[in-house]
Amino acid sequence: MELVQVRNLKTYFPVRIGIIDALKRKKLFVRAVDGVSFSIKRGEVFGLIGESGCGKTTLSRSVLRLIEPTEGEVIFNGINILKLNDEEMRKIRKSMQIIFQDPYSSLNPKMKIGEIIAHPLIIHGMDKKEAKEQVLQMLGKVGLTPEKEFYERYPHQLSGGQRQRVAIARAMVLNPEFVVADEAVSMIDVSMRASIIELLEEFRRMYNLSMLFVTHDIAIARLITNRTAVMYLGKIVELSETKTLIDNPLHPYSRALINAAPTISRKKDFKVKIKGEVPNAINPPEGCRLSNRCPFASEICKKEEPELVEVEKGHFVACHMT
Amino acid sequence: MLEVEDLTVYYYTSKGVVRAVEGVSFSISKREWITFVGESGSGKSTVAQAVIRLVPYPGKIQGGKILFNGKNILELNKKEMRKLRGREISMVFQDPMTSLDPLRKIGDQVVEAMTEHGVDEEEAKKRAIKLLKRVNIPEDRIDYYPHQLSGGQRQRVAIAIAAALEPSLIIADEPTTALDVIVQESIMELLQELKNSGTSIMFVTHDISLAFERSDRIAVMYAGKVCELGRSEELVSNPIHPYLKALLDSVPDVHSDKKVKAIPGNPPDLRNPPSGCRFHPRCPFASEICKKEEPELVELEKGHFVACHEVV
Repeated sequence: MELVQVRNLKTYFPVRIGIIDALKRKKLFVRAVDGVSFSIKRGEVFGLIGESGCGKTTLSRSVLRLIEPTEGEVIFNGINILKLNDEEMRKIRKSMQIIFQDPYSSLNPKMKIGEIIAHPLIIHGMDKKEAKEQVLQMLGKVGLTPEKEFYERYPHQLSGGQRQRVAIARAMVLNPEFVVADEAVSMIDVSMRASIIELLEEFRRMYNLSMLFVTHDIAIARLITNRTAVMYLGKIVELSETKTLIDNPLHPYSRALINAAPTISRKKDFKVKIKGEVPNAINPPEGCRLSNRCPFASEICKKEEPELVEVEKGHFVACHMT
Repeated sequence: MLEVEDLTVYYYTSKGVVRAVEGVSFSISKREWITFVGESGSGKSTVAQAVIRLVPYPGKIQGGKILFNGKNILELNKKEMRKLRGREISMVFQDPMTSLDPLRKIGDQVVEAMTEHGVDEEEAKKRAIKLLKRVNIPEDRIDYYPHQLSGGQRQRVAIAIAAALEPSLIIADEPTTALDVIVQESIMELLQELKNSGTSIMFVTHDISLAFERSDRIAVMYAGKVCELGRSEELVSNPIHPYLKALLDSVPDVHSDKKVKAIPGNPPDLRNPPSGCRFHPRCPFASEICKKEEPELVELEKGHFVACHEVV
């Protein structure tokens, strides 16, 4: 039962160029997301991990059409939402929501907490009294009690963790089927993260919610996601069940990424390493995009782009060498 | 080499006096890596800044001693202090853009770190090339400006500057917080190399796993105080203070299926810290004495210090 299917999605951003290039009709693009396919089942939490600039945030926004993709399909409940007009899109947005990373900038400081959470309900046509009723209930569900007091407060009176609870309440109040959480716990103090994750997990269980969980923290991905995709320079390089991915990563990039994550539960192998830093997405390397940094790269890697292939059941890797 | 006794730092804000660090004592030996771990507001960065006397306004070092090779640096005048910074103790900050001059080439900035302290220009230039090479910045980038480098490269330049005069202590305040894990690893390795060549490292982080991997000892801070201090393997495998136990239970680990538990409650407002043990309002084991008396940091086993009434 797939709720969301992403097929060969591409999101390119035009780069500003000089007049000479413009006259030559040369066009340059940042290929932020470059041909990505995956699907998310009902009730599944799908993780997206990778370093800054790998395209994970652009991809998550593109799936919701908060950024307009250049090419490809996003099929939600059987409908390709990239073909919908504004009116149809607005209706379907009720079922797809987002929680942003920064609970300081994503809440309007001039609105009361209650108004912030009621806002989406009112936009979608509910009358104010009924909305207030629902908001109070939702405040209870996200643990902001006493509800009536929190309803009247302003964002600056809340801690970071409490603000993120407000953001979750706002996303959940429309009873969506699909939620994107973009680094939803990264800005919260370590000791509070666990409780926010727990809250998301509770919503998932209660409403059979599907989630796209974007994070740079693999330990957090292990905690909440069922399956995870690793992104590098606009492409998925590996996709599998999260536990399999962490215990047995096959792509050299995933191996380096997972090995670099600090851990207290075992002695680390400091040897698995990738050289240098992520290159520019305007002009990615030919062939495999990791070929210029990969310790295992051979001739074919510099020429041909590897496809994402299923090497074990449900474990996909894009690497010529595995 | 460095001994800190009873360090106390307050911030005199318009909304009241914040008792950010109170009665913190520790020492660092030659070629030792010590890490201060804590959440935001625990005072870990303030301790680091105090050791090099760079506590920002409206902060003030209220009391205590900072003995560097036997000399109390809190008694040095500005000129003596300037001589010490960079040459004996240097610092790497979280955001390299705040410590690098955006208008000057990185090579010149490394050179200046040496000529400021009396190294002649020719010699400094030669050494700058070597230093940048050592931190993996290719020679052809020496004329680059900071904005032309990535975040990781900038941090490496900042480390080259900090290491230029081979100081005995480098203080690194969350130097990898803004960086991705693979880049973080390369920065940690660079610090490790500096340590191996004889420099002591005082590292500050909120990430206990990161602390565990490289440090010899860890000091855990909570609400302006050190609550536990000891060898890093010892602290992680045998935590004693209820706060450290709760902290370890609250962080997920990439290679473990353990369930995580948040610590109930919030850290206290340090304008008005709780009486007695500062952790008692959140502590499941707190008894009467914890509300009244402040626990001392006591050596429970050799080299393992804990400040808790319930375990001593």
